[in-house]
Amino acid sequence: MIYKSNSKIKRIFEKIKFFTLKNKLEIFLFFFFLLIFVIYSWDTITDSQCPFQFDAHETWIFSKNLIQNKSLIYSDPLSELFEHKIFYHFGGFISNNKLYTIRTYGIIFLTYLGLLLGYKVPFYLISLLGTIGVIFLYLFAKNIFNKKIALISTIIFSLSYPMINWSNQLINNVPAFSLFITGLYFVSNILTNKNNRLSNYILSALFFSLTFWMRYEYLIFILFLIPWIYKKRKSIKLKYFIIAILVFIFLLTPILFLNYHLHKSPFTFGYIEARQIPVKLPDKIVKNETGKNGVLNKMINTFLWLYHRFLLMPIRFDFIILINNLKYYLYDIFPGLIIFSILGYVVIFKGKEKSKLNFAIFSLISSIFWIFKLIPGRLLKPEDIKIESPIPRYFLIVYCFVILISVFFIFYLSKKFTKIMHYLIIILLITITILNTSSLLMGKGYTVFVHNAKKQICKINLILKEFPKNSIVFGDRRFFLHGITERKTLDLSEILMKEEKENCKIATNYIKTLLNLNYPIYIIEKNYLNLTNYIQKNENDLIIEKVISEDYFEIYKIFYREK
Amino acid sequence: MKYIKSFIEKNNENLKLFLRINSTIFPIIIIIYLLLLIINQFWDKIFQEYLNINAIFILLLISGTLFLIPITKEEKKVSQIRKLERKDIFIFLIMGLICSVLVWIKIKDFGTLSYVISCIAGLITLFLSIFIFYDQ
Repeated sequence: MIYKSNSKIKRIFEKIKFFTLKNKLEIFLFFFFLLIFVIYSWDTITDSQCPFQFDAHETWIFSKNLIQNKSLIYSDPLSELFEHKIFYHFGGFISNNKLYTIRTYGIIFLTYLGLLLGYKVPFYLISLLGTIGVIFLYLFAKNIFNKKIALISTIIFSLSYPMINWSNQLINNVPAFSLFITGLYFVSNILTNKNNRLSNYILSALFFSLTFWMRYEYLIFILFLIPWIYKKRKSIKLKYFIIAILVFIFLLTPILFLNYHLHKSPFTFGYIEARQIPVKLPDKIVKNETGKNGVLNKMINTFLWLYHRFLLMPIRFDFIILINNLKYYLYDIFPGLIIFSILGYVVIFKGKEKSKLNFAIFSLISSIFWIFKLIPGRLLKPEDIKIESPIPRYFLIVYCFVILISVFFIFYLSKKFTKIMHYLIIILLITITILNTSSLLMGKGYTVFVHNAKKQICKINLILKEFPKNSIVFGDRRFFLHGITERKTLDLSEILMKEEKENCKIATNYIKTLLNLNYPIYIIEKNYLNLTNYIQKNENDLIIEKVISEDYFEIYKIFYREK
Repeated sequence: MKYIKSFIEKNNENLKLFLRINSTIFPIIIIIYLLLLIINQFWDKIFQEYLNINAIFILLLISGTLFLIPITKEEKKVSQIRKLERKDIFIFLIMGLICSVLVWIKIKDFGTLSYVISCIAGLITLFLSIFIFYDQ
């Protein structure tokens, strides 16, 4: 009996061993992607998650508003009582005392779906999409290059600072990139003649349209695929291609309806509306009207703005700042890779492999356009050149291309170098990437700093949960206000008169108005006014009571003195 | 163009020798460049006070471009698929360990997290080596 069971166990072990050896890469990848998901949702797993950034807070507010009021327009009746827009302290633009979002509809709907399932779900969705993006990057690279290049480039990209940092935030760049790379994978199936089925056409159209829902600029990258599609036109089935285009257009039409519903023009997005289009073309400005030609004029304005922003602006750049930016946003994040990517392009353009060549043309056009469009346009101020600024998140697509091409070149060298030499180069590159990522996360890139700040805000949120539901918290968005989601917040930094005393007086009047309406009022210190101190000294009819005191914040309750 | 052609014809032998030397130097420069980048992670004064990384970058770019000129004509594989031996695993382990230690030195101020990250870094290096060089 014992002998029989022993041989059975032996056989099972042998089967496991055989399976492991046969699928060692797949097993490694499974655990690696699992690890990536854990890293990308580190803030959420460690209970340090909240919509901390300005953009994230806006997304959160609008998604919650969508759940509560079934509307994409946010309005707070209390706001009408005050001169300053103290209740509208997150992004968006105000029109007729209503707040319109400038975020994309995609991220709002994604957060909305997540919030329906739970507080942490939107953050997990972002991390999950980040991980999916990494998986599809591997598959895409495998289609264009080979398994080894796909593996190394996926590891380098997924462990890079921008991916780790921005997958932990409620920001739409990572989901947009992931959806785009997923669409690109399905397109590559068609363009490399791997799989020419209808499902690939439809899936690519689906993911590209979802990308556009997340971030509008990705439409340009989709258009940059045209030369590749044209070159491979013989392998494309026209019927399927037309179906894909129809699906793509069909999936985008709700955006046009939403735009029309919100901004009275199908092509006017919140972002464009907020920036009062177009400001630098006085001879071509068409005033927004509400009359007969209002919609048409708005549409003309939008196209003029797009022309101005995407075609005229990239030409005007400062070369020195451009070089500086390239150093900070490309070289400093991937120090070892840039040189390899330049040489990689040379090799691909000299070679005869069509799929690589087509990809190289596509990636080069996209990267050059994006670098020249984004860097000079956004960053004409030297003080903005910082790794910790939001800019690296716009470059995810460029980073991805740089990594793919450079890893291709490194493997190309294996044909010429000895094994040990080649091995050494790859290991050194991975070591640099990990070292650089960890030093950016823990130092210059502020990821750990933001993690700690979010942890503090989570603690504040937990405390606020115990307060009455109609409580209003006075604070300052430069300290603790963004990320507070449990109670309504009011931003003191919106009150900016010349004298601090005057500001305190206005704030106190606002407190009194709200107290008269029976709202429980709390002040969170610190704020730039030191409001509690002012009230204690100057307002005899108000009482301030410290409710909670922590190392980094204090919460006070304010109420009228009983007569 | 004519002048360049005649120059190449005249100095064909010298050019060949130069390119051969360059093909030996190029991998060495790459490794030096990557090592310097690693050293810079721990001692950033090296590029501020002693060395100009831009010069090495440009040198590498020129050397790399020259390296690519003859390479497309003679694409013969130096390396061949080998079987995984104990000796190789030992080398990979050491490389993984070195990577772990370097990462740990860099982030040691972060307590337990630094041990976790450095362990993961070492494991990734170890497994990657196995997959890259001994793929079936």
